[in-house]
Amino acid sequence: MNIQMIISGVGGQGVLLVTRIFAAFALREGYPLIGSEDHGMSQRGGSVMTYLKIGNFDSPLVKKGSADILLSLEKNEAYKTLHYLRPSSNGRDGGLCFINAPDPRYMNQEIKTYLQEKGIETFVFGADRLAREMGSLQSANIALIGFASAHPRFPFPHDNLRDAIERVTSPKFREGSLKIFKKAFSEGRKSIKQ
Amino acid sequence: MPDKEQRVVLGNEAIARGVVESGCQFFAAYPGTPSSEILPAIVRFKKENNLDIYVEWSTNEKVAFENALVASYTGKRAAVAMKQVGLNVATDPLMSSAYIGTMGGFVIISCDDPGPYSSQTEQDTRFMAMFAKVPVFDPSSPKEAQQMLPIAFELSEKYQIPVILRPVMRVSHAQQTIAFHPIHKVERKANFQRNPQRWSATPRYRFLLHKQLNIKLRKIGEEFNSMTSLNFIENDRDKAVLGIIAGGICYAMARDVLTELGLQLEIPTLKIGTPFPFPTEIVEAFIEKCDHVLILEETEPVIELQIRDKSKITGRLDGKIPNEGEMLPEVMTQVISDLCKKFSIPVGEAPSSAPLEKLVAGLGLPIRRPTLCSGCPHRSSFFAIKKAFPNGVFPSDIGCYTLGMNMESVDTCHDMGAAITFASGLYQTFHQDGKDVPIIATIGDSTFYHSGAPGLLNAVYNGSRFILVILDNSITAMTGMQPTPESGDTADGHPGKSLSLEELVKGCGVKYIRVVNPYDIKGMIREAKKAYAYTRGPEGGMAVIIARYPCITYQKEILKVKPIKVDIRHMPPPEKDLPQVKSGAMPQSLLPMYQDKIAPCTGACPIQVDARGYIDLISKGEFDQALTLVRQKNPFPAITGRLCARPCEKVCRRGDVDQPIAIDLLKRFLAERESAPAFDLTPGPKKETKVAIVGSGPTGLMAAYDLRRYGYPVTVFEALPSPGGTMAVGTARFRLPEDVLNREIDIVRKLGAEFKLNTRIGSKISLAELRAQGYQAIFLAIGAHKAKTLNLPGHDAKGVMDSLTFLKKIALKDKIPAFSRVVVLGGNDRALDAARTALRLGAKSVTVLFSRSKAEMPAEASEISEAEREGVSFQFFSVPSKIMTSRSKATELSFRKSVLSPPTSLGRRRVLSLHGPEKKLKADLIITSPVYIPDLSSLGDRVPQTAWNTIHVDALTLATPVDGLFAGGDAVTGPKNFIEGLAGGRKAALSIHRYLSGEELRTNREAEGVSTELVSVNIDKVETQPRIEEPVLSRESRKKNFKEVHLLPSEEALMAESRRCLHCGGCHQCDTCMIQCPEGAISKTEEGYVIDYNKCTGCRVCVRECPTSAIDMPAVGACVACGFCLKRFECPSLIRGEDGRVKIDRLTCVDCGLCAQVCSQEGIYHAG
Repeated sequence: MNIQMIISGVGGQGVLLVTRIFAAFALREGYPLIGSEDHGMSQRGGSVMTYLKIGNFDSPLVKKGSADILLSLEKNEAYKTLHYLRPSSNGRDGGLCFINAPDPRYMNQEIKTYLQEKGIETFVFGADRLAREMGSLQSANIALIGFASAHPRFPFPHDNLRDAIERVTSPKFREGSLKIFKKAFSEGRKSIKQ
Repeated sequence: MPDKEQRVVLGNEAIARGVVESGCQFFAAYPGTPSSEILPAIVRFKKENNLDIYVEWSTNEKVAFENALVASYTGKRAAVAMKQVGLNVATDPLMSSAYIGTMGGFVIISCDDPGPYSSQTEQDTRFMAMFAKVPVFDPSSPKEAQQMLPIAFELSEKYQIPVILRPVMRVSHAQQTIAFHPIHKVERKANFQRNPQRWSATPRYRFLLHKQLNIKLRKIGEEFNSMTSLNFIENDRDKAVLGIIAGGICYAMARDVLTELGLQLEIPTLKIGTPFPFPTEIVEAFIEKCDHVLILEETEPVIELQIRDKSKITGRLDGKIPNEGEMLPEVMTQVISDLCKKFSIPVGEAPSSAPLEKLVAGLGLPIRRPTLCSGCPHRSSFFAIKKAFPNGVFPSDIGCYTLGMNMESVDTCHDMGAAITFASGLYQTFHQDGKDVPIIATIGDSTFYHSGAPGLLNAVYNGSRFILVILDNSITAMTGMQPTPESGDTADGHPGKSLSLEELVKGCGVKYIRVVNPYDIKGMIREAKKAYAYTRGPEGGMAVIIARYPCITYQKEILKVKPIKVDIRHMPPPEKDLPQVKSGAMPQSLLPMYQDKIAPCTGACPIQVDARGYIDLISKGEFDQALTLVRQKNPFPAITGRLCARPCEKVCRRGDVDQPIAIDLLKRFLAERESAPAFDLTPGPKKETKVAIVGSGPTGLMAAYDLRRYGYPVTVFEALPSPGGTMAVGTARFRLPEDVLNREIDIVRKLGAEFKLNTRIGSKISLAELRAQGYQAIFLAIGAHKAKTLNLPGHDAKGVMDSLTFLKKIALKDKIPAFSRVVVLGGNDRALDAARTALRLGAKSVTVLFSRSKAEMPAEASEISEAEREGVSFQFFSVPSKIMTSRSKATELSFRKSVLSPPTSLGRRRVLSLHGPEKKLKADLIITSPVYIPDLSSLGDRVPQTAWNTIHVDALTLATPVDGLFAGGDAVTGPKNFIEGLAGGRKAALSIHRYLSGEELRTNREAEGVSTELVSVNIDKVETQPRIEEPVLSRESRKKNFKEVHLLPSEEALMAESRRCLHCGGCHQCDTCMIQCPEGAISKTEEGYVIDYNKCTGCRVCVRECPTSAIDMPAVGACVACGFCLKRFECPSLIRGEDGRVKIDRLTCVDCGLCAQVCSQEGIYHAG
C-alpha cells in the first residue's frame, strides 16, 4: 500500500483525531507511516492541514498534485487544498475528495468541471448535520471517514478503520463515534452509488 | 514484522526516545516551537520506565544550557533542547563550551524552523555549529534523529566536545512509525574534579584549548568520512552525468521525489548526516565521479560552501534553488527535472496543479489569519489598551499575544524581552525631543521571566517612563502550555517554588504596580489611563499593569463553571446588501449625527447662560470672548459671581466624579479682569412707548436692561435713596462690595434707563398717576421686604430686629442702639450676613441659633465656614422659646433643643417638638429671620393678590389681570434667590415688549427658564481632579472692616479649573470620535467634524466614546452588521453569516461573554 493523503479543516474540528485514526490503522496493519501537520499559531479557528503518507515513503510532505485522498472538514479549507489531489491523464482514476459542507452543490461549477476532467472524484457530505442529528457535534470528522469508507476505491477497509476508531477514541465517545461511523457509511453507500 | 515495539510518534518524541535510549541523566529545556514536545516526552519515558533523569523547564535557553553543561562536567550524560533562536540566547555558553569541552556526553538539540512557520528567522543551526566549532548532526527523519543520538553522545564523550543535533521542523513535527530500542542505563554518579586550567581557564589556556579544539575537529572530520551509517552513497557508480548531495530532511524528500520522477535508480545520491566538521574525503570522491552535482540542503548553503572546488556544483549559490523559504517537494521536483532535461536524462512529467490553484484563487476565499483563541484574555487586554490609547505606540514581544497586531495593539515584535527594551529606548528617544507619546509595552508572563526583567531593571534605573502590561495567563501558552515559575509546577513534578510576579517587578524597582482583570474591559481601560497619568506625573516613573487571567484554552473549566452565554439580536433581514449603513439601507434616523445638546449647567440656569461655552473659552485663554459670551445672557456677571445660588454647580456632571466645576468663580474672574473689554451699551431702536419699573433689585434692573435693549424709554422708581434693592440693603458689603454693585447698576444707567430714587410708588406717586404720565406698561418688581410677625414671645421688644431691617439700617447708615451680645435666629445667607456684620461692628459675641443640623442650613457652606472662622458661634438643633426683656428691652433669649421628624419627601426635616431643659443666652440684640412678603399696602386695591400676600400674575407671562400691569421677582414668588430674580425681570421684559408691540404674550413661552432634560455624559473614564481652592482674606484682615472676603485664585489655577469641565453635550473638538472611528469615516473640517456615511458602518463607537455626548444615534439593540466586533475584537467565534450579519460559531465559542462588552449597538447581549 502506498497512499498519500491530505486532511484539512480548521482548528477545533478534530483534524488531529482523523490523523490518529489512520496512524492506528497503519500501525496495526504494519504499514510504515510518515506525515506532518501544518497549523497556524493559535489553538482554535485557524487553518489546519495534515499530510499523511502510508507505505514506502521517506519524507513527510505530500507534493501538490500527488494526493490520492483529500478529506476536508470545512468547505473553504477544501478549496484551498484541492490542488494536492492527483489528477489522472485518462480522466478516470484521479484522487478522491470528500468534503464536509452543508450544501451538496456548493462547489464552484468551473472547478467542478476541471476536477471531473482530471478524473478527480468529489463528494460533498453534510457530516456536521449527521453528527448533530446523532447528538455529537464534534464527531463530524468520524462521520466524514465513515462516508468516505463507502467508496469502492477508498483504500482502507471499512472494518479495519472501525477497529482503529475503537482504539483511538476515548471511552466516553467510543460508542457514539462508532454509531456515527456506521450511519455515515450507510449514507455513503447510498449517495456514492447514485 | 519487526520484533521491537513499533509506534507512530512525533519527531520530537523520537528525539526524546533517542535521548533516553542514550542514557542521558540530565535534561533541561526552554519551550519554543518546534522543540517544545521533546521535554514532555522525556518526562513520559522517564515515568514509564522509572528512570533517574533530572528534567527541568529552565527560565531561558542560556540557563538551560549552562545547567545541563555543568552536569556533563560531573561525568553524567546531559542534553539541552531549544528552538534555533533560543540557541542565540545560549550562544555565550555555547561558544565557550566548545573550547572547554565536556566530560559526560553533552548534546544540544536546536530545532530549526525553515519557512519560517513560527520564528523570527530561518537561521540554520549548522552555521551556528561551524561558528562555535562544534560537530553537528542533521537528521533526515524522526527515525534517524533517534538513531543519531546515541552516536552523538558517544562522540561527545569520546572527544569531550559538545555536539549539536539540528532537526528541522519537518523532522521535529513529522509523525513516523519508529521502533523503540532498549534504554541504555548509564548510572553515573556526579563527580566534579577540580581543574582550574580547564574549567576556569584564563586567556592563555584558552589559546591552548582552541588548539586542542582544532585537533579534535580534524579527528572528528576523519571519523565522519567513514561513518557510513550517516554519510553514504546510494546508487553508487564510477561515472554519472548528475549526482546529488543531500543533507538532512532534503535527503528524505529527494528519495520521494526521485521515485515519483522514476529516477530512483538513475541518479547517485550522497547522503550527508554530519555537515560539520565536513567529511571532505567522501564528498570530494563523490564529486570526482560526477559530471554535475546538485546540492540539496535545508536552509543555508552549509555543505555547498564547504566544497572547495565548486565548478561542478549547482545549488543555492548559483541561484538554482531559492535562497529563502522551506524546501518544498514541488521546488525540488522542478529543479531536478530541469537539470535532467538539461543533461538529457529521461525524466517523468509531474502533473501541474497551477490551473486548479488559479481557479481557486479566483474565488477570493477569506484567509484564515492566525488569531487569538475565543475567550483569550489577551484579546480583551488589547482591546482595552487600544481604546485607552488610540494613538499609542505598542512594542510587544514573542508569544501568542504577538497576534495583538490584528487588533492594531502590537507595533513591534522582535526578540524575547524586546518589548521592554524597545519601549524604554522609544521613551528616551522621544523624550530627547521633548515629545510625549503614550508607550504601552506588552509582554507575556513567561517571556518576562525569560528575559524581560533585565530590560525592566534598566528602564527603571535609567528613568524611562512607560506602561508595561504583563499579560499574565499563568502559562506558556503558545508553545503548548508549559508551566511558568509563577505556578511553582516543575517539568516532572519534582518540588519547585512558586514565584510572585509582583515581587519580581517590585524588585526591579517599579513603584507603581496594579493587578487588573482583563475580563473587565472598562476597568482595564480605567487602570491603563491611571497608569499613564502616573508615568507623566512629577513624581511618576515606570508603571506596570499585571493583566491576570488564566489562559482560557488551558483552563477551559473556568468558563464551564460560570459560562456567560451571549446571543445576537437580529433585525428582520434587510432588503439590500449589508452592511446596512454603507448600502444606504440604514434608516436616516439611525445614523450618527453631531448634535450639540444643552449642557446641564446651562439647562439649570434660569437665564440659560452658556457656562460650558465660556468655561471652554477660559480653558483656551480666550477671556474676552468668554466674557462676551456671558454678557449675551447676563449683563451682571460681577454680582452674579458673588450672589448666585449656583443651580449650575448643583447639576454639574463633574460633581459625580469629584466636585462640580467652580462655575461661579470662573464667571467672577471674567467680570473682575482689569482689561475686560468694554460692554457695547447701545440701546435698541428707539421706541416711543414708556415703561415704568417699580423697584431696582435684580428683577427690576434686569427688566430695565432688556427693555432698553428693545429700545423702550425706561424709568426705574426706587423707594430707597440708592438703587439695587436687597443687593444694596439686604446683603453684607463683604460679600458684595459697593463698587461692584454700582458698576453693574451703571450698565443699566448707561443704556439709558432713568432712575428716580427716594420715590415710593403708592405714597409719592400712585399707579394711576404713572399711567397718566404716559407709562403704558408698568412692571412691579418691588421685592419682598415686609417681615411677617414672628410667633415668639417678646418679639416686639426693643433690641429685636429682623435681619433685613438690620442690614438695611447699616447700609443706609441709620442709627441703631448699641449692642454687644448678639443672637441671630435662622440659618439663611442673610442671617449669616447679619451675624457677621454685627461682629464687624464690634459685637462681643454673636451666636446663631438654628433648628436643625449644620448640613441643613440653607446658607452657602463656604459662608458658614467663614462665619465660624470669624468667630460666630452656632447652636444647632435649637429653637427659641422666648425673649426675656427688662424695661421692654431684650436681655436674654431662652431656647430648647428640637426634636425632628424624619426627612420628608423633599428631604427636609421638620421640628416636631422641643425637649430638654430651657437654656438661656444673654443678648442685647436679637436678629430674627422672619418670612418676608411684598409690601403691597400702598399700591391700592387694583393690584391683585394671592393668598400668600404676593402679587397674582399669569406664571407664563408675569402679566397681572390689570391691563398693562406686570409683576415679577420676589413680589410674585416670595423671597427667592438672585438668579431667579434676574429670570423674572427677563420674562417680564419680553412680555412687556410683546404687549407694547401688540403681539400675543403667551406664544412659545414654555421653553423659558430651566430645562428638566439634562444630558448625562459617560464618566467611566474621567480621572478625578479636585476642585480649585478659593482663597479668602485672612481672619486678621477682616476685623472691623467690610473688605470682600472671597478673593480670586491665580489665572493659571482658574484655567486649570476650567479644564476640569466635561463639556457635557457640546463638541469641543477633542478628536476622540475621529480617532476611535474604526472605519476612518470621520474627518475634521473648519466647521467641525464630518461623517462620511459612505464609510460609516453604524457601529456607534463614536457615540459611545464621545466624552461630551455631542453625537446622537439611538442604539438599534440589534446587529446592524457593522462588523466592529469582527474587525476590532476579532474573535474567531464571531463570523459573518451569508446574509452579512454576525453569527456566533457555537462550536468554538467558549462563553466568555466578552463580545457583549464590545458591541455598541447592544446587538450582542448576555442571554442569561
